[in-house]
Amino acid sequence: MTSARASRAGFAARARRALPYVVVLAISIALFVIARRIDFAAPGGRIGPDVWPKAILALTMLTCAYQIVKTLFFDDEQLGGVLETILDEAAEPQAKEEPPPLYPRLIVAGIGLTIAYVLSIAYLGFFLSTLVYLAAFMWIGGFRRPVAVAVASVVGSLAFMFVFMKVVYVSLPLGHEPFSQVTFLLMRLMGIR
Amino acid sequence: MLDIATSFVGAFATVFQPVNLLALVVGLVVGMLVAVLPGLTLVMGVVLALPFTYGMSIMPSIILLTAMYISGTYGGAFTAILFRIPGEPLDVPLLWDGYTMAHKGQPAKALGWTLFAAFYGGILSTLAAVAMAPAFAKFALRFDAPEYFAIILFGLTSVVALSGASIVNGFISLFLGLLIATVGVDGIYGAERFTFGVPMLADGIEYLTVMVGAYGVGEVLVRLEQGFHTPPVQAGGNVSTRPPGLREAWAIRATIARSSILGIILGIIPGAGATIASFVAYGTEAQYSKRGKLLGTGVAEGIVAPQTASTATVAGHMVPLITLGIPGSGATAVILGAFLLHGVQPGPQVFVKDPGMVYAIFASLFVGVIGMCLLGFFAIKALIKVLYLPEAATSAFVVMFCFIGAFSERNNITDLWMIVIFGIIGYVFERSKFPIAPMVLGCILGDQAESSFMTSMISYQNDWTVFFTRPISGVVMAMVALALAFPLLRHRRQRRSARGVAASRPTG
Repeated sequence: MTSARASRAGFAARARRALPYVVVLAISIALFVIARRIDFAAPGGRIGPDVWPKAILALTMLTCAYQIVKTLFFDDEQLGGVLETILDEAAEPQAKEEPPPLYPRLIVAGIGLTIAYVLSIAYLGFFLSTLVYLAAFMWIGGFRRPVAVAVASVVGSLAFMFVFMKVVYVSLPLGHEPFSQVTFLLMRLMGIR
Repeated sequence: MLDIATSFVGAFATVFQPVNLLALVVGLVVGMLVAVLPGLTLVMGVVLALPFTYGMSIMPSIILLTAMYISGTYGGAFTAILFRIPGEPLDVPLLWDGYTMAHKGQPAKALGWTLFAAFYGGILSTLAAVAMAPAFAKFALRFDAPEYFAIILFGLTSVVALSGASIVNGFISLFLGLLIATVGVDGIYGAERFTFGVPMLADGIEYLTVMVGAYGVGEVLVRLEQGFHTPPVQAGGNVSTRPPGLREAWAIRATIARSSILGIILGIIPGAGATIASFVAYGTEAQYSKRGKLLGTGVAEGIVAPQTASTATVAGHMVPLITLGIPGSGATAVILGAFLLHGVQPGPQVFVKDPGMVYAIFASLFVGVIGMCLLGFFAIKALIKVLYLPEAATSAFVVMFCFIGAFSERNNITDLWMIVIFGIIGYVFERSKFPIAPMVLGCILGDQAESSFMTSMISYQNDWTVFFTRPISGVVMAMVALALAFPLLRHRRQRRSARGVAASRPTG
């Protein structure tokens, strides 16, 4: 009974490890179906523009299928590159460091903040959105000295604006009213036209 | 050989033009700063510098990026030796003897050995690359479409087969990169592929956004999840560098020779970068050096071998990049990106059309090695001060550079979304042990791989055996098969020997 449960638990663990490959396989199949609908007119006998992506997708599907079967039914030990294994052997006698602790909340906050930045940049304009982003990112990242964070964000945003708009001539987003007024004011002060 | 030497010497005049010299100095300083900062990797630094080259002409652009690349292989040695903080993975072997020597009260001597190794590794490999490159290019001039396809295939498969913790993951990453390169309107038939009705996708996905997103934002997200931390650094009050004397240097000439050769060879082979070279050179020294058993106790050979090899890979990497258009590492993929952004396709034709540019790049490497050693010798005290910067602040600015870099190319906010998407993909890849380099290389070389494949098929009436029956492409395809079979055979042999060891153990 216990061994059956252990075997089920083992299979479930293997299934979890195989999951990324199942996802990639499913996406590849979907893309392969889409690739079959690529519209083109090739002169007699020539291969079309669908062949190359279909070949890549077929190879991806084969690779995933191999790894899924291997993980589920055989061993799930990964086959490493030649030099990587040499590198591992060279590093083996030395003390291996413990993996660092992970903070999933930070990554959620970091990705959320980055998405919010891209969403807001067209409305707030480059200066305001960058100012907020830099300050918030530093704060989330654990740099908690308010004055230093504020100074770094303001100076950084202004420097980016000056260098890229005045020197490199990149047309950074100005923002919508009323936020664009801030951008126009700063542009006037910096002599940017 | 004389004409090569004459062209090489003549190219120094190009390097010493004010704009190029300025690009070189800026590249050396920034590369060293990037290498010193633990949160920034060498490739990330080169990627972030790429958008600044849009407005520059090709020569200073390439000089800037290669200077960053070469000084990046040296800068991290300071923090590894002085503070036990490897700036780059390639600096890890320096902890074993470099830090130990410094810990025994000889930090200046340890830094001196690093400088000596970086100098000789850089100079010898540059001279070797200058001597080899024309022969490579001359040979490559005989290539037709099938040969190009075979060479690209070899470059891509060896990147996966030689390095990477998982070959399967490496291939999936590579296929994703090749697939990304197919998005948009194809060049031969004008057919739309994987555009899903999004007008922006019809222009294709810029490899720049893939590189900047995956390497830049992805890496920052990985570090954020680990919680940024600024390493505690003792004040580097009496930091100085004391190069070895002539007699000391002569005593380890064999180490220099072995490690330089290893570095150049591993540089030429796609996939084996500076990190691999550094570890392999250390392992080789442990095996073949007279004082191999003393490695790890703070001996010069343990510092010189990894540093010489890692610096030597840079010139080695430049040979297939310039003569064949095949980048063997993340950093050279970015440099290839810079070439393409400026409308230059590296390959044997560059040697014919613009040999001056090629020799100037090698000459800039030569001057760069000297410059980086001078910088390391005189400016080390100032440079390591960047370690005091909080990682959260540098990372916030890195993300911003990524965004502006991607935005500057087309002034389109959709590119910012691409950066976010590839940043998340880069993070997921790092967390799931999928290598990023094959995806980036696939993305950059995908177009060329497809066009050489299609041209071959059209020229040879869809006869796919052409890749195997033509002499050069046949040999290269055999090398592809070998590159794929070698890790498998090695893995089987290791398992068999592990089973043998287990069976020979007494039971009970």
